[in-house]
Amino acid sequence: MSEQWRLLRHGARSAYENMAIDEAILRCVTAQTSPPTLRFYRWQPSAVSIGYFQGIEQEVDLEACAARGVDVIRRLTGGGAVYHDYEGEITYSLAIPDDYPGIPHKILDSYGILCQGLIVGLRSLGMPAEFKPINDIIVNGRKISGNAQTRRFRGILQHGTLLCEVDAPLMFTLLKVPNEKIRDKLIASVEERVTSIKREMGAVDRERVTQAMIDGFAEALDIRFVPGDLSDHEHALAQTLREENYATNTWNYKR
Amino acid sequence: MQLTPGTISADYKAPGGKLLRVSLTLARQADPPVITSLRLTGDFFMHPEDAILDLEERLIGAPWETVSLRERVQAFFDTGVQVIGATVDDIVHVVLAAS
Repeated sequence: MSEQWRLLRHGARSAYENMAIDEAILRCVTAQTSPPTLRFYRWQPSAVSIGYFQGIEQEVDLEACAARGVDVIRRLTGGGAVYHDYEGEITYSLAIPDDYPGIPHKILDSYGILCQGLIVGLRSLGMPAEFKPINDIIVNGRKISGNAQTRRFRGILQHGTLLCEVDAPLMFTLLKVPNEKIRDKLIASVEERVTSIKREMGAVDRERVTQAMIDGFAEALDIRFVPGDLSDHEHALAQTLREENYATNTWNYKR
Repeated sequence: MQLTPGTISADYKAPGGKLLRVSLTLARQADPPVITSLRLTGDFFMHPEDAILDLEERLIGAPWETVSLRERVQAFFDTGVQVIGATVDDIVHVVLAAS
């Protein structure tokens, strides 16, 4: 029998709101006041997120971000620094209890299963997508999606990106490079190792791609989605988390 | 991290894993030198995440040599923490590589 999940199709929000909402949903899902949830969202302004364990000044050119109005935020999840372009990315998050049927305790294994939603979705669009451990999805050998997971409050939060269009020179303007001499090499290497919906399909129809991902998750994880909204409690909690954590220097500069 | 005088650092890409970066200070009057402060950063995963503070604490006060470091990192892994993208040896390697 298929499981019933809530589907949230959010528009664009700030980095601080987005990360606060992801945590608020996780907390409410694990408190069983909200059902398992899949959410899609965008970043406005465009933002750089860094992994929980990264040093903000090691990874991010903060002046370059400020000059371009790009927000910078630390995620609740580990992994690497990501530039989330308003146009260039479809972002998702999912939150489920950690005893959800069929999800392995071993985190490495659970990435492969939770990523199946995107993989089935990409394949339905004609792209030969595959899971590439640790936490990537590749098409024709090139990365198209990065994913990151945390387990807290007896729940699982996984969020990730689907690249629609890549601007490698901009990425390496906002992210630090080890030294200027290899900047061009890094840009060339991203263009070699990373792909996007635009590169694979020629154009980006966000609505069609998002719907394919929803259908992909429904099929891969045997889910029936019910469109919904954040609860009042999630709204309030997200606001508190944004103000007291995600928008603070204490959080973002803690490493 | 606040760069204090005498801070040494290293970056190490674990084979098949993630990038580890370490910054640390040493008391060099001891032989072998003893780690007096340490910060481990990078794009790895660790569950629970807060355990990173426990790992750093275990390494502060450690002699800066292979056997002691491996013992302490192994004891940390033995607590049941899941570290993804870095092994015990990778962490020991980056800490010893600091210069």
